[in-house]
Order: sequence, then C-alpha cells, then structure tokens
Amino acid sequence: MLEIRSLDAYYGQAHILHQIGFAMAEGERISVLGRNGAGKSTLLKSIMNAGPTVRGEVLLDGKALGRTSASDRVRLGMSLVPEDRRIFTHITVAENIRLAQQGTERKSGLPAIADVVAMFPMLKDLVDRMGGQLSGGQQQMLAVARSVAARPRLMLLDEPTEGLAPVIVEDMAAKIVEACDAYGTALLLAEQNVWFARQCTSRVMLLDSGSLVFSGSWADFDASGELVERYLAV
Amino acid sequence: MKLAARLSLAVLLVAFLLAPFLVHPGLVFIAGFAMIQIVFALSWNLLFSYAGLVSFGHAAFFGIGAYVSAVALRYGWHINFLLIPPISAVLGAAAAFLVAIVVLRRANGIQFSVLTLALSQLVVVLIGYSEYLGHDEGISAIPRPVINLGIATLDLNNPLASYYFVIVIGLIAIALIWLVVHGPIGRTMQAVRIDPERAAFVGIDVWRLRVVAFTLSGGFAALAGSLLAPWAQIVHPDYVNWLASAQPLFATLLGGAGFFWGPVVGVLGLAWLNYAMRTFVGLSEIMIGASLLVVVLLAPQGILGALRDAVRRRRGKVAGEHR
Repeated sequence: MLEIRSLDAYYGQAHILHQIGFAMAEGERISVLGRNGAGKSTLLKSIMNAGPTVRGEVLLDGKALGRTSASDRVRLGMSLVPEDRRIFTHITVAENIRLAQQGTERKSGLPAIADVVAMFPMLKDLVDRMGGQLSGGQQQMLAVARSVAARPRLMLLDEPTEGLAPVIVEDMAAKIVEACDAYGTALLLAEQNVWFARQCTSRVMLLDSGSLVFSGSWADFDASGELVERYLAV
Repeated sequence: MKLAARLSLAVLLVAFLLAPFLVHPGLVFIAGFAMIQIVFALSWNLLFSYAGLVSFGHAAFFGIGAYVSAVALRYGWHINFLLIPPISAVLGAAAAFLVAIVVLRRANGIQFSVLTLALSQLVVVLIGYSEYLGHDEGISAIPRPVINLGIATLDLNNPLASYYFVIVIGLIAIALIWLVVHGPIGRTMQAVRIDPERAAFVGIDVWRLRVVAFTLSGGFAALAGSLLAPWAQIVHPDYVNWLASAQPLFATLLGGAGFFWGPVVGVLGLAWLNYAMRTFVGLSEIMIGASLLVVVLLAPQGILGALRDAVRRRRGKVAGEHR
C-alpha cells in the first residue's frame, strides 16, 4: 500500500533523513524506533508532506504522491497524529471528532461519534467538554480517537505515549490495536517506548542519525541483542 | 446562550421593530442605517473572528452592493427590487472569489490586508472615472421602489414600509451569517484560524476554506450595501473608501472581537456616540475618537469581553462568599 523510495528530507540546509526506503502492506503495523533527533518525526511528516523539504518518492497504491498537500493526503486515507497532540481546544470532544470526519473523502462507513467514544472509554463522559479542558492523557486519547474516526487506511502516530502515565499507556496500546483491527488500518508508529511499540506492531525499524539501520520482525530485533544498546540506550 | 443574553437580544429586536412608533424620524433613520452597518460589520467579523483574515478593504464589496442597487433604482432597471439584494450578494461574492483565488495564493497575513486596502482604493478611483456611477459625487436622489410581491405591492416610498424592508432583510442576513458560523463551515473556519497546520492534518484544505470564507463575507457585505440605496437615497465613494472599511473593524473591536454579537454591540455603540456628540460641531470626531480610546484601553476585549469578565468576577466572588 505505502512505499517509500530513496527519501531524503531537509529542514533548510539541514539534511535530516538519508535515503530511507521501505514498504508497508495494507493493514500492516510497523514501529519506527530511535533516539531523540534520530529523524522519526521528520519521517512521518515527510510522508505527509507536512513540513520538511522532501526528495525521493512516497507512493500510495503504486502512485507517486509528489507535491500532494497534507490535506489531500488525508483525503487519500492517510492520517498523522503529531507529537504535540494538536487537538482543537475551542470546540468539544464530539466536535473534534466530527471535524476529522468532515475532512475525509469517505462519506459512508464512518463510525458514529458514540461508537468512537465506545472504543475509547476514557472519553465517554467528556463528549461535551471543550478540548482545552482535557488532561494531557485525555487530549492524547482524543487525538488518536479523532484519527480513527476518519477511518484512515494508514495512521501515522508520533510518540503518542510521551508524558503519559503508565496506566494510560497500557490502555492506549490496547485501544490502538483494537481500532486498527476493527477498520483494517495500517499503522506507522514513531516511538521511544519499546514496550508500547511491541504491543502495537508486528514489525520494527530503527532510525539512527536519519538513516535506517534495521528493519525486521520483533523476533529479529530481539535476536540482535546489541541494537537496543547501540541505538536506543541514552 | 445564557438567559441574560437572550433577553438582551429580544429587547433589542423589539426596540428595532417598535422604533418607528417610539422615536422621532431622525432616530428611525439612524436605526435603519445601524441595521445596514450591523450586517456589514458581521460580514467583516465572519472573516476576522472565524477565518482569521483581516480585510482593510471590505467597503469595496459593500460598495458593489450599494452601487448595483443605486443604478438599478436610478436608471430604472426592469428588475423586481426584491431580487436586487440577492443579485448584489452574488456579485459581491463573485468579486470576492476572484480576489481571493488570486490574493490568497500568495498572502494571508498583513500582505493580504494591505492588498484588500489597495483593492478598495482602486474601486474608489474607478468610480471617480465613471460618469454612469456619478464620479466623486456619487448617485443622489435615488427613487425608492415599489416592490411587486405577487399578491400585493410594497411601496417603499412609505417610510414605514421602507424601514421594515431594511430591518427584515437585515434580520434575514444576520440569521444566515449566524447559521454559517455555527454550522460545519464555521467550525472548520475556526479550526483554520486557530492552527492552519493542525487543520490540514485533519484533511481541511486551508486555502479553499479561506477562499470560501472571503467569498461568503464579500457576499454578505454586498447584501448590506444593497440596502443603502433605497434607505439613504444617496450612494457615493465615501461608502467605499478606507475609512468606510475601518467602520466594521471599529465596531468589532468596540463590541468585542471573538463574539458573534460583538459587531452588533459595536455598531450600536458607535451610532449612539455619533448621535450623542452631534451637537459638538468640530469637536465630535475628537470626542468620538477619545471615547473609543478609553473603551479600548479599559476593555481591550470590547464591551462584551468586559461584561463577560465582570460576570465571571461576580460569580467567583459569590462562590467565595458561600465557601
């Protein structure tokens, strides 16, 4: 479904990503691990055309996306939940979810707000609360729920566990897997929390200084014992 | 909406409806003019408070409506006048759309505002060259129309009919603007105003949405302008220049930016100030300016913002006393 070929990304003069290439099948779930500054967020933003200057190719269903804007990529079924949550604080939880559904091309088969909330019970009693009145964990859950509500074919999640309490992290992992299974959504997850990444995905890639240094199954990752020490240890 | 706000709106509506029976004709004229300015200011605020765009040249679109209406009446176009406000709105929206697709491609901040200002001044210059539009003197002695309603006729030469025509069309326009900003488009506009990048991440085409907002706003401004000719019976370039474009801005800042009803309060406040200061010949502009300065300094969020803060303080105090 998604293919990345020889992708380089730049912020101004800074060359952040170097010749990244990989492919994802429909419904596949992949983690991107790496230290701070390894280029995980830049990779997700490059795929969405949401900031960095990109060279190389991003193909969806074999078609090069070229200069397709971020909003048009959303309409094609891609959805980015950025690191800073970015929920709309001036409208309610329900309206946040509705807004995401307005932005998608898909006009049928979208889940009802009640169904989305049922999938993320933390939001159950907060439907009419303004986005700005939610806690950090609730905002993060809403950001994911909003993405799921549009039933994307591919969800790009950027460090959704950052700053969250362990109990919320556990709950979120279960909900993300449940949502992806329910809608056949593929997932590209940028994370530093290895436990969380393992819960959510079946494949893992490692980025170091903007280059892809490992790609394989979790079993392969575990078999290469030095990877964590070399590329993830602080 | 809170009960007090609903009551205030109801009182205001009744005041507008009963004005011809309660006050002298001079004040009735001001009330009709205020209704036109309210629609104009709300059209500007639709762009400012909801889409986050500042137009310094919105009077150009008001002028399109005003001049379409004026020439239709002055030169006896054979069109039922009931169609003139919607025709003006469509023409204003079309002009705004053309401006938006060109200007918004390249600019959306201060450059956009300055370009809109340049546009309105260009319209003033073009009017000055046009004999058909009365050059700098504009079009005066505009006759009021007799409107064929099918089953009856409405003669706007009757002052009462003319007043209620302006009020009813104005109320319809206010209702339409309210529906726009409280519907899905308004919600999306606000999302774009607050964070365009975040809006793009949920699939909103930011450029397209801004074009829609500017088009709608231009259409409503032209609709407001179309009411001027039959009401004031004179239209001239002063209604199109940069000072006219500043009026909705003043009204919105005075009443409260970020509040739907802020421009309404602002227009009424300005109308009252103008009326109260009318006898101070030569000093009225200075006094109005000073009054506005005081309000803006004391209540930077406008009159409605100050009222909201006062209510919150009072609630906090009452809650503290009961603790």
